[in-house]
Order: sequence, then structure tokens, then C-alpha cells
Amino acid sequence: MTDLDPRWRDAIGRHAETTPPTPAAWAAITDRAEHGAVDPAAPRPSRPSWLLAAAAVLVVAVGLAAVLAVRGGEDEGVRTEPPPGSTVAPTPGPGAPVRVEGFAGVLEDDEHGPEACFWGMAESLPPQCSGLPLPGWDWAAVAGEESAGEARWGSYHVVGDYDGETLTVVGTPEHDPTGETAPPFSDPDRTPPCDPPAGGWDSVDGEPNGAADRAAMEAAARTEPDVAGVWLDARHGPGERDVYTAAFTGAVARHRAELRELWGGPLCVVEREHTLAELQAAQVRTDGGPLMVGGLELEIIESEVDEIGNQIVITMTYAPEGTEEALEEDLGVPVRVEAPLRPAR
Amino acid sequence: MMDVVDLEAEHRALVESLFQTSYGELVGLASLVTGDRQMGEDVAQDAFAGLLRRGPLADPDAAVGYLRRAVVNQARGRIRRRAVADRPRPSPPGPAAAPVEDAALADDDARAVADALAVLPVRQRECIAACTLLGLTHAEAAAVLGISAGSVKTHVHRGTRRLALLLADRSPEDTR
Repeated sequence: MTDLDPRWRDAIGRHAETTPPTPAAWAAITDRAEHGAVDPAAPRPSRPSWLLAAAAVLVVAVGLAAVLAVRGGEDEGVRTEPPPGSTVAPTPGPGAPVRVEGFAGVLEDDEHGPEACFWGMAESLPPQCSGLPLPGWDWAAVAGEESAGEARWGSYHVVGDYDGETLTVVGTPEHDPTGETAPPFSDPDRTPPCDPPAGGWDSVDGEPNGAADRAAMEAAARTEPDVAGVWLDARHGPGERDVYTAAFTGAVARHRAELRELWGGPLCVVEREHTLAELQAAQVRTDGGPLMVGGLELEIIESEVDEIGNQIVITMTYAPEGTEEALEEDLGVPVRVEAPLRPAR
Repeated sequence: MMDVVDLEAEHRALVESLFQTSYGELVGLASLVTGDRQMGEDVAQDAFAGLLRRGPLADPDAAVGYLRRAVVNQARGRIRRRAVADRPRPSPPGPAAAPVEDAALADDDARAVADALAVLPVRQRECIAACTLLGLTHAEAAAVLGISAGSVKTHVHRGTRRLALLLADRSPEDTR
């Protein structure tokens, strides 16, 4: 899975052994169960996570439209149509479902009806997941499903009308023969954005070149106020050496010379537009909590800084056309939105 | 009525059985995600209490998955509230040497790796803990964490590389 030293993998595993199940712990659990002293962040069965996600998407979508409405000088309030001139597509809502499409694992079991799971299924038998309800789903109309006990599941390309809470299927979902939900996510291209030296990256073998030197070089790069990112490539072949890329918003030659004094291994230094601090500041505004834009509260499922792409990556269930542009305008940095549901073509 | 009582008794027996087999790993999961052993115990106990209160599941085999999801959700909630309380944030990723220096003060590898994990982004911590401590596949971890399997793979890859660098000075060999 990874190249983490077995020593540290074992050390992580030992964290499962340091707290035994004592009678006192069990007594605390039963007491909490009886008296309700449960953390409010606990999942509530009556309102499963997909509903929270769907609600979040609704807030985002409604918020985006409303932001543009406010900016356009119109009346405030929730609207399901974009203001004149807006590049944001109509947004989902109970009264205004939008036609969308995407790949999903679909599962029905004795816990729930057919639901679209965009974030993976647990590979048990039968598999487990919960997601977006699919009213009108008809297993007899689709191909390729599997079953075990009361569970039926399969992977499909689904077109339907999304209202923020459910996805009403339109037409016949197409079986995805790969058996895998097409991921909206993609690994970034970690290839160093510099031409390799004449002898190739593996020929760069200057001094100092130890692990501590490497760590010191990265630490030095990251403390520069104009650093935009630092990353390693992803080669793992025998004898291949890690190539560090360090990105800054200027003074590339100076930074390269300074880092060279700390580390003699393969190094690529490039220029990018936004500092890491800018990206982090923007990401914090979107990190799991509400994002205030134009006085409105927007909710994001997940976000992170993409140092390689010099951008923020934001995850939502559904992204209307124009979402990235609206977020970029507000956040002031490049944004890539990853969403399994997109407007149907 | 007797059936209901039986079902509830069976459910309680199931939860107690899971407590015996899974409490330690769930405390470990919550501790590594929150970076706080006491909070980890608290989160794990809340998860078991929530399952007890929920009552019998249609599929008892789903109970472990329920507990894992509950632990991750609660741990994330605790971190979020703690982060709000601690604002302004964030601090940019600090020099790689700092956590290594702190870890050097610890007397065992488990403490060192927990200290190093604590400087990773929360999502990377969750993915590494789910895949390494619980031994889940990327798809299984994705179902627990509510993100895609591809995203789990990316977070594990990034987090592990960073972890290896943070712990490099303590490794028996000069690992790449």
C-alpha cells in the first residue's frame, strides 16, 4: 500500500492495543446510553449522512445563485433561477429539480431502498453503503446487478432529476461493466515540471544528500514567505530517486541556489502564481464548515489545498455550471470542483 | 412483547461483544485522528453509547461499520469545534524538523508516530488510521469516511510520504 517503514506501521497498529475494554469503560458507555450524554456530532440515524450532504449541496447551490443575485443588486432571498447574466446554471431545490448525470454504485438492502453511493461501498458481502435515494429505481429495467440475501447492487451511469434530496431516475441506467464507480477524483500529475538534467534525474547525486538534509531543505523551502508548494514525484522503481519540486511566486534562481546548499539531490524549482499561504487561507474558509460569501452561508463537503496544481480542490455532490468560477471570484485563487453529479448533457 | 425484549437483549449482547473485540481499535482510531488519547476514549464511548441507544440493527453485521463511521464523524466534529475555539488558524505546515524533535522526547514508537500523525491534515490522518490501524481497503475506508476510494488512495499516499519524512531521523535505516 505504502512505503512506510514496517516499524511505523506496527507502531500505528499498537494504538489499537493500548486501551483495553475495561468494566469501567463499559459502565460509562451504558450510562451515556441511558442518560443521553452523547456528543452532538454523532450521526443521527433519523438524518443519515447523505441527507446532510444533500442539504449541504442545496445550501451551496442556493447560496451561489443568491450571491449573484445580491451582487446584481436584486432582492435578497432564495432563488432557483440565476440572475440575468449569471453563468451559474439553475440550482436544485424541491420545486426546481435539475437534470444531472453521473456514475454511482447503487445498493438496496434491508436497511434502505435503492440509493446511489458516490463515495464507495464497503467490500463486505453483501456490500454496504448509504447515499442518495433513487425513487422509481427498477432493478428489472437494468442489467448487471448482483444480489446476496435481501441486498441487490451494481454500478451504473445514472441520468435523473436531482432536487437536493433525491435523484429520480430518467430513462434506463446504463450498467458500468468495470464494476467500479467512476471516481470524480484524479491523482495529480506529480511529474517534476522541469526538464530533467542531461543524465536524467537519477544522475543528480550531490552532497549533502541524507534524510536529515532533505528534511532541512523542505523545512527551509516551506518557511519562505513566497513558497507556493513542495512535493515529491511518485516514482517507485528500483534505484529511482525522489525528485523534489519546490514552487515559489518569484526569485526562482535565488531559491534554487539557497536550497542547493542544503540538499544535493534531484531538485526542480519553479514559479507559480499563488503562495501557499494564500491557498491555505482560502482553503480554511471552505474547510468543512460554513463559507460566508456575500453574507450568505455556503456549505462544502470537503476541501483541500492542491500544492501541485496551485489551487483549492472542493468536493460537493452536485456542481452546477459556473460553480468553479463563482468560487474562484470569491476566494481569489484557482478552484477545482470535484462532484460526481454534473449537469446532464 | 417478549420478542422485543429478546431483540433488545440480543442487541445489547452484540454491542457488548463488539465492545470487547473492537473498543481498543476504535479508541486508537479516534485518538490518532484527534491527536488526543483522552478525547479518543470519549469519542469511542459515545459511539458505543449511540449504538446501544439506536436499538437493534436490521443487519447486525453492519454494526462495526456503524461504529467506525460514528467514531470518524464524532472525531471530526470534535476537531472542528476545537479548531473554532483555537482560532485564528491555520498555521502553515511547520518545518519538518519540529515534530521529529518533539517525537524524540517520546519513549516509544507509538508515541512518536502519533506525534508525527498529528501534524498531518485531518483527512490524511483519517485515511492512514483507517487503512493501517483498522486494515481496511481503500474502498472500505472510503465507505467509512464518506469520500471516494480514489481520494483515500491520494490521502494515504501523500500522508505516508510525509510521515516517512517526519520520522526519517528515527528510522533504523535511511528510508526513502
